[in-house]
Amino acid sequence: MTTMERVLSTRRQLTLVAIARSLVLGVSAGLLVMVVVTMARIMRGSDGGALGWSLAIMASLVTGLSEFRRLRGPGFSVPRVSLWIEEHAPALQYALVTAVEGGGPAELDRSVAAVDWSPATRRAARRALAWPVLGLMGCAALLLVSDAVAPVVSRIAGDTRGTPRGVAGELDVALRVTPPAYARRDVAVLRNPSVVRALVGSEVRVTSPANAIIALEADRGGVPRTSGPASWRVGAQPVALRVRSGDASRLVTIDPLPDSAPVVVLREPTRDTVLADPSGTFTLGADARDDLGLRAASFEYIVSSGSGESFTFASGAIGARAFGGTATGSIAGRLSLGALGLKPGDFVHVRAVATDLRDDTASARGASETRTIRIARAGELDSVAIEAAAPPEADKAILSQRMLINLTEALVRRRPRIDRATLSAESGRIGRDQARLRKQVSDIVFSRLGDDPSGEHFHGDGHQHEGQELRPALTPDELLKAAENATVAAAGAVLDFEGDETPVVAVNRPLLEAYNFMWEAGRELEQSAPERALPPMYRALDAIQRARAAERLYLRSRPPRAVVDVERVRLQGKDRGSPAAREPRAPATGAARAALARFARVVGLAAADPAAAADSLLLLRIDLLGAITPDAAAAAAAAADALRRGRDAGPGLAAFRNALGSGVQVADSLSRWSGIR
Amino acid sequence: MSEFVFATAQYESGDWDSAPLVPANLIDSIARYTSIPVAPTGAVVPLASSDALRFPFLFLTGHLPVRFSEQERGTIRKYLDRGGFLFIDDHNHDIDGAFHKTVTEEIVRAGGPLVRVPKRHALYSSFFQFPDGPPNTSHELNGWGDNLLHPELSAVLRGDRIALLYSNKDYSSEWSYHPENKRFSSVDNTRFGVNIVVYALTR
Repeated sequence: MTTMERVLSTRRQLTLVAIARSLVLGVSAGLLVMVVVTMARIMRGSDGGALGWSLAIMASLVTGLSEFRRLRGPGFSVPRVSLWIEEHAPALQYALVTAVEGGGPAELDRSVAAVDWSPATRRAARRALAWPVLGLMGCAALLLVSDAVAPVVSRIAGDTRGTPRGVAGELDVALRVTPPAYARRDVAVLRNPSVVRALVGSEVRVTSPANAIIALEADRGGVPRTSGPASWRVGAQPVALRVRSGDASRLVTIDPLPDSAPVVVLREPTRDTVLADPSGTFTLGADARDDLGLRAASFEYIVSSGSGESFTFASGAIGARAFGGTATGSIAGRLSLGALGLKPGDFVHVRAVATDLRDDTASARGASETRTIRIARAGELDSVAIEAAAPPEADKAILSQRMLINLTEALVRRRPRIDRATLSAESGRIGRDQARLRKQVSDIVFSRLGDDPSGEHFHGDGHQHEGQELRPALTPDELLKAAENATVAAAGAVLDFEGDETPVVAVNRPLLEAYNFMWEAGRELEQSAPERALPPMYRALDAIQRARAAERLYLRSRPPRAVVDVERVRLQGKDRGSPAAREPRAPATGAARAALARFARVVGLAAADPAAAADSLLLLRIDLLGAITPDAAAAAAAAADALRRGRDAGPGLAAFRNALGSGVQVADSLSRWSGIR
Repeated sequence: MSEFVFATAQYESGDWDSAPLVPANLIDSIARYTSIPVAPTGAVVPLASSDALRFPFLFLTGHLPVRFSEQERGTIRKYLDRGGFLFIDDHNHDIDGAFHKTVTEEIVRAGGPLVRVPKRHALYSSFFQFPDGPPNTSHELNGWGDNLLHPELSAVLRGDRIALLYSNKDYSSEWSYHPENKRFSSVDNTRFGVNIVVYALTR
């Protein structure tokens, strides 16, 4: 074997070692990330499996590639490998590079051939791989034991990180909640939960301890078991479950979350209609939304013909659209009356329907209200009032400058998420409202100051004049001068002053400023630049506020700061009140009294046996779940968690107690202050 | 016992300060007819602030469309749940006006459904007797007003307690005058305001 062949062989070995070291380090990094994610997942009680895998793969790739790049440097070239061999085999006396490059004396080749550097190569390979392989084994071991270690870490960190810490005698459990597939929701892993809120149809499975079984704590209405001993299928009724393993157990309550049917709103047609002629086209529009996601929506129509006891029906669907799981959606369509072949006296019933992702029961289907279109009979044309469908109701109210600012700010916030056409439409709409408000201001100002009491020529409805620039007729200074001439100066007397301005100016200057700022804001809004419209809108609002103060000062004087002399007027009124006797509060019903008594026992147990108190509270909560507000139910769950963790359960208990009602009880005996002992 | 402070709710949209003399007028009436300790001036409290929760009674009025911010809605929700009494009056008294439509929407969103207050409700007998329900305002009466009568008030309940009272009878216009001018009235038209405050403080 020549010297060059030996060097090339060493180069292959070194390349393989570099690849192996990079691989081992990459896998180690991935395993380490998995260990951390597993611990965090168990401590936080969430799933995060997909995220963990993604992070682990990313860490592996980054670490492995970085290491390989570091080892490879500029490349595994022959001179570089030769230099590496010279460095690790001193017996070569730095002759290898010269021998490889060729052109050296024959003695040089012989001296190089006499040196065996393979032991040095093996030593280097062992050194390069030993620690990474040990690290890989350590990470793998850590990952294997992390599930066992996590509860300990969780317990240690429980107080500071909010992880439930089991009280003595209670079983540490981990539950995996798998929602039904159609919901497309993540699996959740919960550690020691008091309450599990899960969609109906979810599976709750005990993942730790391995030998745990689930049983109903108390059979409330014969809830059937639909799965194995370590799992529970969530039904429509809330249940209390006891998870047992050996002598230890834990009470877990299940709050079922029903899947709501889609909510559908028919936008068009807006109301029922009677038509003289069965022709024309109706525009249909509807919006739908669902808590989990929409599958599809369409319009349904039914044509009913006939009279007396003889009717025929025909139905159909139009405008169908699939949504594939989006939370909201809209559908549109056109209903041609001519195509339906209607006759006088026929009815067309139209509604919109939508299905959610479940799509297997009637409750998964939502429908809007139905609109009826009737074709008038020939004989009733003279007496029937034919009303066409009304256009959608427009908001005719003048919006305040504050409201316009709110709308514009909201539009600016939404701008990154909407397309240009929507931005232009909404900005233009706000701009037209701004123009209407400006018209109101101009009516006030111009009718006082100008010759034309009707104020400016209004362009807020969108019409324009060819070749004419859109601007106010007079500048502010011109208008103020007109004001002076028209009022104070013309009258030859000054009525009142605010600062160094006449009242007329004090009133009208801020209004004119507001007017001009509104022009500026309206222009920006018309150009679909709501963020540029905001500064003048703020200034317009400020000017209006100043005008209001000035207005009061000028016209009616500022409202006095009324401080009531309470002592002087006390009981000096002309009338005397005669309040009716207050009715006593209704005594608590038997069920309410029983609930209050159970609650009292919970409170009594809280200090001595918090675990028992938490269990009792959860059972009470399950029994009252339909009668109390969601907030109260959440408060009870929080109180149970707090009891189990040894924290202050007071706020949760107080909120739950308030939800139980007044609890006034009728005493059979006389009260203590009645004088009878 | 701390004295009662008449608080006016300040909100972002619309004109919350459209009836500036109502607080003083009702403070005067409370002192004039009852022995409730009352502060001589009212307070203005932003609805978005948790300071609102310090007052047992809040008065809210306006003419313009109302859109509460999320913070304001949250405060109202907490305020009603924790025993507060919010009195909202439509300063327009029109039919389906801008304030009425928007504020009732906001009330439902923040506090819950509005129900009609029956004419025999304790509100109408908590201090003065109003056997016919809420007294009409001069703006409603034919001859003086436009004959748009709103015969009933609405309320949001918490249990059997009125937590939010909504009126579109325009008491804001009726009561927004300086209390010294009461001496010119043969019948004090703020007496129903006393009933509202007494109800709020005793239920």
